[in-house]
Amino acid sequence: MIAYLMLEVRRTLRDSGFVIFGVGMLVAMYLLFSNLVLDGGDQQARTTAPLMVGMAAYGALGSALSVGTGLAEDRSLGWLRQLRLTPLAPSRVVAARALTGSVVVLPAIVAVLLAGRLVNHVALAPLGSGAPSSACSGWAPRPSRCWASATATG
Amino acid sequence: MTQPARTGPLAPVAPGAAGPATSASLTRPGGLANPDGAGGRFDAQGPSGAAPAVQLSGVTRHYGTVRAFAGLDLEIARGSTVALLDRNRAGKSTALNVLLGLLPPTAGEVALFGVPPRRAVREGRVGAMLQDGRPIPRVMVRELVRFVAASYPAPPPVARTLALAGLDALADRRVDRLSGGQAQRVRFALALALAGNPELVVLDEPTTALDVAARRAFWEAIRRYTGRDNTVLFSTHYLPEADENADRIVVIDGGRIVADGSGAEVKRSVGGHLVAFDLAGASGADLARLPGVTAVRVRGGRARLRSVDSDATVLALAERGAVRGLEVTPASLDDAFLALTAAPETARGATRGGAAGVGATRDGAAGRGAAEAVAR
Repeated sequence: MIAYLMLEVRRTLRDSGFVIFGVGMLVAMYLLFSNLVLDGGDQQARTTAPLMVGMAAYGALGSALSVGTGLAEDRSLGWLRQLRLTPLAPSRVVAARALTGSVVVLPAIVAVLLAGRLVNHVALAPLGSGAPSSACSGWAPRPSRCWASATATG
Repeated sequence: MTQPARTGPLAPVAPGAAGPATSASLTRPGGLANPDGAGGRFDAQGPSGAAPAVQLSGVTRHYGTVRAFAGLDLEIARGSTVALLDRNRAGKSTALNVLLGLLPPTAGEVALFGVPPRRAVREGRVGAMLQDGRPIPRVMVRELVRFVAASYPAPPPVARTLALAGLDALADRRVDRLSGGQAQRVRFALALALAGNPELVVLDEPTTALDVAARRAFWEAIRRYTGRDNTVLFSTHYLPEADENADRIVVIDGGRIVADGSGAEVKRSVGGHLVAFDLAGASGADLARLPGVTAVRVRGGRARLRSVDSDATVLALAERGAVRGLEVTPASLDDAFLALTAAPETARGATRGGAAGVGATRDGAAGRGAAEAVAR
């Protein structure tokens, strides 16, 4: 089952369409939207973090849905029938496919979060920590860009 | 992770009750069949026993009201290479799908090595190359062969499988980018089928799209594989291929087995020779009554007789003084196949109960009778 998971993940990551549109485009869109200065820069500090989370979620959804189309493609190619003729149990194939779905969402999430952190200097307060501003000042070099402190002060 | 086998649990079958025994269920003489003969083939034989590689008893498959085949009885001994011929492609592929457990039979029992097909597949005893399989994208040849091999309990080294299939040089190519068209794709499919060194390999029309050289290379690989005492079942519509590569040929027509035996036996079954001569205006009406004649066809003033005893036929013709432009040729497998599988409408009539029209079915009916003679 792990072998099948690895095979499917490898196939997904080799898909240039997936990498370009599912990850690259997403990062570019995020950076573009979050850095579009429309109102003199005041709004930017408040939007980068929500945009980052929203974009990451959007990318994750897209990647998860691509598992379904991949499955349909494999079926039409006769690959699922071929798999049924290997000793691999069909239930394991289904389970591995589901796991694939939860693994292939990671690249989009990681890429967008990295872009948020490295380019937009977003820092999120850990859940349950005390004052958001303190967590924020500890994380981000420029507190004014931090969503948590921005909401706290604004 | 277990699932109910679609064919149902194989309850021990009482001796003599293993499906309706038709004359077509023939165990190959001299084959590696179990020694205890017809009765009790299912019982008292574990998966590692001497159960035959393939056992179909009374297997029927319907698609709605359309019957793909009915009451199919077939036993394939271990270590044999069997060709499945069918003029109707769908019936053949359906039979292989049922045999592999991909489709449940409407009625009857299927067993591979004495266990239901799904279990035999799960135990890694079966490898197959399906007709409609196309390469999946973005995987290397070696990766995929390794993956399939790893799912089997005791796979041979991947390099050996690749060498056997003639893919050494292409191992690091992407599966969906194999150039050279069909030949390489077929080689690749073969590598997948053989990756786990299964005991039974099922190939559905493996060489349909291949040219002569690729075909030869393919069968060379299969021969190297069967050299290890493995069982091969393949379907084809190319008769010389069946004759050359199988030690047993099973002909299915209209959903039934109409002939079963070696290539020579099948040829003999429809009348060993063709006797042709010019009628020169004479009537060909009573030619069917000549000794040895099983079928008569008159075309363009020339009569063609199929005969099981060409000597007697020719002597009788000589007595009538009818020998003009005489020609006696041994029947080819193509002749045999055509004789065994009559024209579509007559075939359907024959399976409905044999009450088809007389004139057109003469060829087919004779062939069928002769095939039963072989089976006996």
